[in-house]
Amino acid sequence: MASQGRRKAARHRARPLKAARRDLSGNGLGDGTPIYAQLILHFRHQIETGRWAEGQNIPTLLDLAAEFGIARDTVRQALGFLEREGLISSRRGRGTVVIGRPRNDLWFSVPAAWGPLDPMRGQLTAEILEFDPDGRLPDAPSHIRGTLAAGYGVVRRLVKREGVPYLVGATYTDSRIVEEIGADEVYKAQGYQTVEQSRLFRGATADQSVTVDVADAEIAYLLDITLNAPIVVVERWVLDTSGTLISYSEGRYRSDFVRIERRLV
Amino acid sequence: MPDSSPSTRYPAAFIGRGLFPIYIQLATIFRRLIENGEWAVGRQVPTHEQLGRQFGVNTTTVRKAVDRLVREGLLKAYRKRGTFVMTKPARQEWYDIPTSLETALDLPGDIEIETRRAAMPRKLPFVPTLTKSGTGSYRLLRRIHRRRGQPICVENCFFRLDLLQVSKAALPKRASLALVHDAEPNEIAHANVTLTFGIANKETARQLKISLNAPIAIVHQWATGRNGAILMDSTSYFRGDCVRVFERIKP
Repeated sequence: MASQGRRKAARHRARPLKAARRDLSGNGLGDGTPIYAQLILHFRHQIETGRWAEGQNIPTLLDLAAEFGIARDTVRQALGFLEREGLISSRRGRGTVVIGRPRNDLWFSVPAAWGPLDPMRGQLTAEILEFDPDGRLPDAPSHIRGTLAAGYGVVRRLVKREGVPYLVGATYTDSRIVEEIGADEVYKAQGYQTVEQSRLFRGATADQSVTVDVADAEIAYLLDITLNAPIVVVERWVLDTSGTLISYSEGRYRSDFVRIERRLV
Repeated sequence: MPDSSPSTRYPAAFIGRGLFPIYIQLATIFRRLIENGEWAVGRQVPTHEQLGRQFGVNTTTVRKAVDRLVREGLLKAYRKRGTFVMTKPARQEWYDIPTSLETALDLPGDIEIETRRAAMPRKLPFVPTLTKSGTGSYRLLRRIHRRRGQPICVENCFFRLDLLQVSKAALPKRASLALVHDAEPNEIAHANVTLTFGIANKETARQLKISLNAPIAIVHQWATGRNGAILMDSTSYFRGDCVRVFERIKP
């Protein structure tokens, strides 16, 4: 039996090659990074550098699982991500072939200054989950900063890149701004940037915080991750010159590829 | 009066997918509703029947989810009167990850660091910056940061040997970068910090006293000297529920 022979061979190889799994973390990732996320980065690197050439088959699931000494399901999960990204395509009975190169950096680096929060180029699509021009700010203690406005327009959206969901964002905009620029603009605008269109934004200050949370059932569903998987929460508060909170926004990101890098000296 | 306003934010569609039992999934939603104040402290929550209708699950499932939060002390069920919100989930105090030199040198006042010498690993695949300058003249310290006895972070820090002349008494109160700065204030030419996120493996979970797969933040901090060689290289595993990066992004 050919497949049995192969399995045996894979078992044979598994031991010495277990070292390869440790080497995965040589790309700056600590051992706390989920293995499938390490695999995605490693596989992308293989394609980027041409070690896995376009038009050619990549090693089989079995071989990859043996090479890294991990479960086939984990490898399958990582390959599924690359497939959705359009880098590989699996053809039943004929293996998995490389069909494209990564177009952009997977990492989302959280910026340290006011400016675009979506640095990842590529096809971004946003689906509006909720729109309420006469909403309110949830009274979670972390949300509150400065004096609250009388009301807030709420927009909540799911953002996908290359069809892969990566962010659930909610923006709360001072009702006075909703009135000033119109509810349509608030609906169309890009989340936290809505506030830039207001005269109240002149001289305003903004703070940002990045924290970690776990996915509740809804976020897990929307971001296509497991319940209680870690997510990164990026919050931004904008206070006008009188100290009123004119905009609050909260982005919940899949944590696998978010990072923060700052130069200290 | 029970708050029976239907919430459009949590459609029932996602409940029942995935590996976790439905009542566990439902409990995560209820917890978020309490956190957000949509279920306000002191108020009555909708009846099991109302919640069952809203999320498309049966009342037994609702009861199991509610019981879970009752055990956590967030909800309390009163016979005949219904279920009320007692308190919001407790928050850890924030530990602000330094993103400037001044803050990196200054350890939060309530943090104590226990420092132990650790064996140098033979191979250093996980410290790319260090391998460049060789391993002979470095020492590895394991540092556990605690706040009122509770472990917040486990740090593995490589120091160039000659920079470690600090007194034992000073160690618990000095951040790793500060130790380098104390020894050679003018030698640091470049220092960087990078944060990534992951989940606790067995070892990290045990050291931080958190559950396996709980979220963690991985902080990699390093400094190089004038000749480009590494002065220190530190990797810290923080419990995720207390880590924060807070910055003024528009002055």
